[in-house]
Amino acid sequence: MVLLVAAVAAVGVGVLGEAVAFDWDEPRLWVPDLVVGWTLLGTGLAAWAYRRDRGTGVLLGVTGLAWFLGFSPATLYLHRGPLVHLIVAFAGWRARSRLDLAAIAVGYAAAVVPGARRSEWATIVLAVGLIAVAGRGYVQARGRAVRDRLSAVQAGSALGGVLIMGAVARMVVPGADAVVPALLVYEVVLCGIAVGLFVRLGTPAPAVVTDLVVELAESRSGTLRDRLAVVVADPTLQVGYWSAGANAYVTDDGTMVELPTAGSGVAATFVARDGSPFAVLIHDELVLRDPLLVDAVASATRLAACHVALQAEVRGQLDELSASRGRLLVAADDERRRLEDTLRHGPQRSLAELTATLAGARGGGPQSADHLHRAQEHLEQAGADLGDLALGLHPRALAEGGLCPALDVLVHGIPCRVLLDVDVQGIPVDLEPTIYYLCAEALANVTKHAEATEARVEVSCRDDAVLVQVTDDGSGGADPAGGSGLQGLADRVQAVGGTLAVSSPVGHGTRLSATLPVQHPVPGVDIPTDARQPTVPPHHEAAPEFAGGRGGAAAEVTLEPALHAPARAARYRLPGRRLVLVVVTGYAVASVGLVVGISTPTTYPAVSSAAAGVFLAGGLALIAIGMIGVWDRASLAVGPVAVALGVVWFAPAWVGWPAGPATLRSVAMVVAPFLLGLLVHLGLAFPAGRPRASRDRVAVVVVYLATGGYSLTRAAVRDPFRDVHCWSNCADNVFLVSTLPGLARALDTAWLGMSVAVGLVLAVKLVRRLRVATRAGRGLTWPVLVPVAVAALGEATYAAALLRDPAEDPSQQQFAAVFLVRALALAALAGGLAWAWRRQRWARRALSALAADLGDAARPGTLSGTLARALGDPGAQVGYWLPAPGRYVDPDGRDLGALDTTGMARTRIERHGVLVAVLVHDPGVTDPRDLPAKIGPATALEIDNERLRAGVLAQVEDLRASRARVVQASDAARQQLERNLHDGAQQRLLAVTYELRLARAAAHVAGDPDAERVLATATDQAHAVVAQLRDLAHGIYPAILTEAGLSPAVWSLADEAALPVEVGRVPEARFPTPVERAVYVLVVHGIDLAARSGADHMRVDVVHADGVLTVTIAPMDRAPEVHVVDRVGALGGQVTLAGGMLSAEVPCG
Amino acid sequence: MRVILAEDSMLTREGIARLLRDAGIEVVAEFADGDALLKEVALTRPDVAITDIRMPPTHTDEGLVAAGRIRQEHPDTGVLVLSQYIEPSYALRLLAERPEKVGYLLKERVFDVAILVDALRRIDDGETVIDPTIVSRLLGRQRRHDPLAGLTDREREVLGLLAEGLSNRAIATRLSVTDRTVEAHITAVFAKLGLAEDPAAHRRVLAVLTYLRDDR
Repeated sequence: MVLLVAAVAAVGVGVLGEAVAFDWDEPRLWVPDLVVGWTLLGTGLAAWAYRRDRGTGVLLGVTGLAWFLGFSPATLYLHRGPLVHLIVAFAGWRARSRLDLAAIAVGYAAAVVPGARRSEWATIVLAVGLIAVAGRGYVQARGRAVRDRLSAVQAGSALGGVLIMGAVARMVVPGADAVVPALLVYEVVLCGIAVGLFVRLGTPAPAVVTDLVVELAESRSGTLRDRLAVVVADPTLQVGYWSAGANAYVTDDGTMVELPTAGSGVAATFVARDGSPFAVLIHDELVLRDPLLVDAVASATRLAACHVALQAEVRGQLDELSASRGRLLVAADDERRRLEDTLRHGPQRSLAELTATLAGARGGGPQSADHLHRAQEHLEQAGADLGDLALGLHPRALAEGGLCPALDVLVHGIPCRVLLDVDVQGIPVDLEPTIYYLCAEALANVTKHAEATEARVEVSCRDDAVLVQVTDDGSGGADPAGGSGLQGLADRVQAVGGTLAVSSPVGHGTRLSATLPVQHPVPGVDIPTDARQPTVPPHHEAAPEFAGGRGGAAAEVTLEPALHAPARAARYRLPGRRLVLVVVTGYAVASVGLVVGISTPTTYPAVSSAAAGVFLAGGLALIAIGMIGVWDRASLAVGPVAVALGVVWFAPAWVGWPAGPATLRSVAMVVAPFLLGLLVHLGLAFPAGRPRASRDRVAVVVVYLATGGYSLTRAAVRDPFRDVHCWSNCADNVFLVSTLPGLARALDTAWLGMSVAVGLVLAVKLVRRLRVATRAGRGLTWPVLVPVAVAALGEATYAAALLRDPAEDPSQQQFAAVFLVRALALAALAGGLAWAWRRQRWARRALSALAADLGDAARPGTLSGTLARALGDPGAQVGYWLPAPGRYVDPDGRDLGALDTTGMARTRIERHGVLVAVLVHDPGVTDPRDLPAKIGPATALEIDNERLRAGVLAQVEDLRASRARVVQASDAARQQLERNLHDGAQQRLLAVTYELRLARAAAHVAGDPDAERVLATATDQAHAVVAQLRDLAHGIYPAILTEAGLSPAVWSLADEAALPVEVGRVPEARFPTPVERAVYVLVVHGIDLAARSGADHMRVDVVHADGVLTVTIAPMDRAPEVHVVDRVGALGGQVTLAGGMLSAEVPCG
Repeated sequence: MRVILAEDSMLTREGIARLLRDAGIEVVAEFADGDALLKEVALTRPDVAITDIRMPPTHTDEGLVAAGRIRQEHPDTGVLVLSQYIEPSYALRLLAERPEKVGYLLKERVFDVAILVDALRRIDDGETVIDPTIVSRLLGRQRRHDPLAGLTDREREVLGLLAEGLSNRAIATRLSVTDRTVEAHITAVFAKLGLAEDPAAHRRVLAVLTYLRDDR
């Protein structure tokens, strides 16, 4: 409704406006005018109503209204205020920077100035300004804002362009002929801008800003290498960290860094720390030559290395956990093997003896025989039970015959048909238990759950992996995450570095396939990062190789805790540079005055105003950029040379000043030839400030000396008045000692010859340098080196022209052409230097910002806080997306589950369209569309760092869980074995003793002393077996721990111990089984250690406080076996040995 | 004598039942778990309840729990606890709860019908019965300062029998000495060990067992 009213109002306003402004007889004028106004108002209304951006809508509408108001000269340009505002602030109405704000203000101010008082020039200046402001916004934009800024640039350029064209047209074409066509073009452009901006507003979003995508800055990835590569403009940059283990530099992904060879154009910058090798940067030799830049890079490297260190630490944790899990599995297997051994040598052997004894028992009467018969039956059953137990503990066939017989035995006990297809070739022995248990567990599942009629086991070794596949035709539907059996298998397989895949569609059987690598994965290379690491060898061990500077420009940086800093920069400050500035400025101003003032043809600039223009442009630009360099040597080291070049360039003007003081003209004459030397200096010294090779330094000095020698000698012997070719200054030479025209001419000829040679050599050398350089190096140096080379060629040509025709004449075409080339080359050189200065400055700023940022962000896990501050929402939370498991984790790697976002806005953070993280924040607090602007490059780096870290931490969590499962699974299995033993063989043996007693009693009654004696022996033997089984059962799993808890179990240990064990306080409460078990195992090992070390007593205390069980065993001077510590570790506890006391803290929930 | 039996292993349960019946002891009922035992005890009030420690459903200490409740709720009914394992803790726990009319024997021992019947009678008479293996384990315990070293062999023997729950008279019979001699030995032992002599036989068992276990 509101919209309709507004639309009608817009139509009305339009018609009204046209009625006031134009005659109806002139549709040629008012129709386009009306169309423009309506377009503006229409797009404004549409933007207001249908797009999410009301600011743009309002500005479009206001522009339209102002357009209709433009019926008098006073209001003709009124619409340009909101129009400029619209373009500069697009999308939205808020200015993004002070410059934008200023531009908008100027736009409004210009709009209210009546048209009559405007000049065409002012229009052109303002139009250029608008384009510049929009362009700047585009250049500085990051992330999603780039698109909006691009639209602004297009709109601004269109508007600016049409304004400039209109102004030019009005200036060129007299009268009013151009007005109407220009107006038409203008109107078309306005419509285009309105429609274009409206379209760019994009599609409407849901009412609440959710699931907004924030694209991170455009750096390819977040690593330090990439950041540095961008900053120093060398995409080939490599960063290597010293690895003591590998005795080489390695990158953070573990690849070895190859050090460059001489002449390859690639250099190595070594970063040392406390005299030890730390890192190396491999880069184009041209890009890192400024010591300040190198310093900054080194600082950034060190700071980033802190991140790498943290990552490495976490990775180390990962490796340790993985190793711990492996150890636990091995320990469990070993123990089962040992128990099996005990079983075989103890109860099973005794059972065989008992069987033999009973086989020899005769007589005693029928009743006795009856009991004896039953005893034998029980005995047989007990023997079978023990056989099963032995198999469950450890398959003997595996130890004795290997995998094949073991699997045969295994398959024998499976009720369904099993096809075995086993090729043991190439399977390492240490993988056999894993393969066996894999098959055993899989087949057990087949019998238990699958109701299969047929199963198939395939084992083969291909290349460097063993493939194990168990398939069945059963009911399927096995859930890898559900049953602990499959989970336990996965853990076991992972522990040897393999992978397990389960495919089990319901009703279509189950396929379980495992790939086990034959070579276990080795932990990654260590990355030295911190002074805490004692393993870094002294530098000299590695140094000899590098000392020769294989990489050409081998710089070395020693890290200091503080960031490079202004204090360093002070060293480069020239004394009295203000004085230099004043003098040189004065000189430049005087030179300008001179050039403008001289009309006699004694100088090139005097020939024409064009010549004067290029002459002044080249010199002034050089002086200006040179002075900037003097002030900011860190960013432009060759500044002084550039200033000198500019000063010397102006010298011929002073020489040719007819009315000038004789001394001045003479000095200028001496100075002028130094131009060539300065060019050589600048060309060879750029960008570092001094020539890199000593050969080059010598060359510069030689050229300067030769020039000085020539110039001074010539001044001493040449009387300009006597010189036939003199043209510029034929009167003054205050240095004249004696007139020797012949010598002067010879000197000139020699000098000119040398100039030709030096110019050509310099040009060739610079071109070669550019050709040899890498792309990065070329990109960095060509804007300076190419103009220097051209200038050098210009000097050579100039000298050659003078050799051919000593009578120099600026008005002659060949000399004029040479002069033009020289002047333009110098102007281009100034431009190139300005560009180089700007670039270097940006690089340094970016670097120090990076370093500072890294310094701030050194503590991981703080990103949430940073983003929360940026958003102004303290409750904001970051969830990192881990694609592999497909879940969100917090910065510490903890699973965030489904990430509850009820009532919260979610902002997806993406990099190149790939989900990186999601930011959950209050929708009301802030507009997340501002986020891209607030996320700086370092934050982007941080997001990546933190995501990597979160990913690794999540792995750590997974591994920790897996380790705990390994312990639990092994304990559960043993508990089951103990129960089987208790319920099976032990009861059978009791029954045997019972029957034997009865048989014996019957024999006694029957009066058969022989039978009675045999039966008495058998009873004793049976009792012995019972006792042995009791010990075995206790070894497999202490029943009292399950039955009665920790305290009785510890007391029981003390009862049986081989040394006096004092049991202090032990809580009577029950704890989770894994906790009780871990403490128990620790005490068992503690007693064992103490007994073996010959201690005369020990004391055990267990204290429960704040959810932690603290176990102390004293005196103790030895650490228990690693797997015992691992067991405690698996529960999140730790074991410490200190002060003759072993203590363990076990969290118990 | 009326006896009730709870044991989850059928072989053992039937074996014991048969032995008892052969010995002329009435087996009122047999069960495989503790809850049923408790209900039946409340119903039939037997003289002694025999129970395994480990029974369904949790296979932990059901038997001990049941024993404790029986002693508490039906003081007239004695309890004999059977176990596969030699655990002094169980004996102490049993005695600590109600130190009379209780017994703790290893399973393999009860198939010796003489031992079983003797134990049941003693329990029925209000004495305590502790398996000799448990006592010998406690006596054999490693100690830093062994107070038992000061005992004579005969005194040590008396201490062991005393810990098994035997009365003075039974000890005298076992050792073929007079009651007086036994009393003298006991006084000497208690004096040497620094134990306060308690005339109540069942309490002194607990005291001795606790003393033997506590290493000070």
